[in-house]
Amino acid sequence: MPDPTYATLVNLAQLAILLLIPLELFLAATLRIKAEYEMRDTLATVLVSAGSIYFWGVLGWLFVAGVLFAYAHRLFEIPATWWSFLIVFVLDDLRYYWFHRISHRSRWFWASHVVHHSSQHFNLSVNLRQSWTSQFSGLTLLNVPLAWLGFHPALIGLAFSVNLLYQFWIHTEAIDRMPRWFEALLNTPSHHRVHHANNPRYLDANYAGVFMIWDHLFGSFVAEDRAEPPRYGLVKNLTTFNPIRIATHEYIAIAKDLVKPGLTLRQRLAYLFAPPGWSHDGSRQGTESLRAAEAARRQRAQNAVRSIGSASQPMEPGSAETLAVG
Amino acid sequence: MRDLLIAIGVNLLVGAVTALLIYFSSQRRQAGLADPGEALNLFRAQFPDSVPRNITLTSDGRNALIDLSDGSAVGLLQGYGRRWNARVLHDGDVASVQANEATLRLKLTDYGSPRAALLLTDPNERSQWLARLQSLVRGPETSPSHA
Repeated sequence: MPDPTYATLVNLAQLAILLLIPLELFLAATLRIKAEYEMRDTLATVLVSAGSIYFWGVLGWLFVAGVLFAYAHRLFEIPATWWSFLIVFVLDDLRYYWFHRISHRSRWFWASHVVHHSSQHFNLSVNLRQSWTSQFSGLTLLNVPLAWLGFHPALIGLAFSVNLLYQFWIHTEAIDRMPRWFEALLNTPSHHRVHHANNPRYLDANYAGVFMIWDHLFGSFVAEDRAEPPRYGLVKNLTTFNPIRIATHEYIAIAKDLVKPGLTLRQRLAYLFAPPGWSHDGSRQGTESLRAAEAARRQRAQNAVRSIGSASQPMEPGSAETLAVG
Repeated sequence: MRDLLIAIGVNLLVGAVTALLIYFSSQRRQAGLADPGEALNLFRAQFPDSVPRNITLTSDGRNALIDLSDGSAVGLLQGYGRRWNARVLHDGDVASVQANEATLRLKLTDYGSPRAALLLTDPNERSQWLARLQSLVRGPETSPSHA
């Protein structure tokens, strides 16, 4: 397990990173960098974060126990070296991609992850708004295969920590774009703004932790379009700053759906595990239907523009008045 | 446990420093609606296919009630700090509505958006909206009112 030096370094890194939040706010107030904070939103974030740390501390042993158990039954002896760390870092990032994608595409896991997306702001503090229930949602099992393969748990823990620390700086509007090569290879604020947006075209995109290659490879990459600024938050936003409601609201919504009378077992299971927005009677909209509706609206708008354009093509002298009216 | 408490303490300390900076910076203002047109644009940003018939801004400019063309549902635009949330209230979405002097106080059945306070100083508007919102309360939960 990590020695005290490692623990101290991680704690210092966390403290340094936390101090970037007041720094971002200070720079927003003095140098007018783009960073919008709101008192109640940030206070709610801090309280949600405190709860998240508490539950990590109390239930984190589930993660540790799973990894240690798998390592005790490992398939190979992989030495803990710099090259094995690089390999486990890349593999752990792949693990993160699928953890993240499943967290968005299945409601049970979304109920845990939704907390992170519940703010309608996008600044460094949003990174602290983390789930209270990630330890028992079941996705910590995704950490097990690396230990089973034979990577040392300390290496896995380090890769996990570095991955999370990397993701801190991408929660900002202050940085517009990184150099092109950087944007192509790595996760950036621009890519992550898309991920946090509720514009239909941006939904369920850019799941990467560090390497954008996974989104390109698995077809979930969407570039930020300057013509369509991201709107942050949920498809159905909250109107509360209460940290308990923020942390638990989707579980309550699931419970209400599960006890609806007259549903089949299949329908109840779908309310639990189908993508967010699924409903037995089609009364709700998920990502696909929201995108389709948005695409249809765009098409109608384009057709309207085209019809105006074609009407103006054979424009004769004196027909400008008709066009203006149209 | 000690490490856990330290981590939570550091977290809360940074939160307190950030809150102080927000307090002393210019980022404290709340959003306010200038006119019905602005409310309509904000509502339609979230419900682009809706067809509003009539819009009432609350007297504090923090909310708008929208009469939708389908007749049964009511659009509600709520100020949420510096942001706006739009929703469509259907039958059963309102748990109770009470008129408290010039304010209509709504309890909603949505756990993630549990209440709204609508300041309507015009008594005619207030009584009209009270009746309309009460019609969305399901069953015997309707609260007595004194608009």
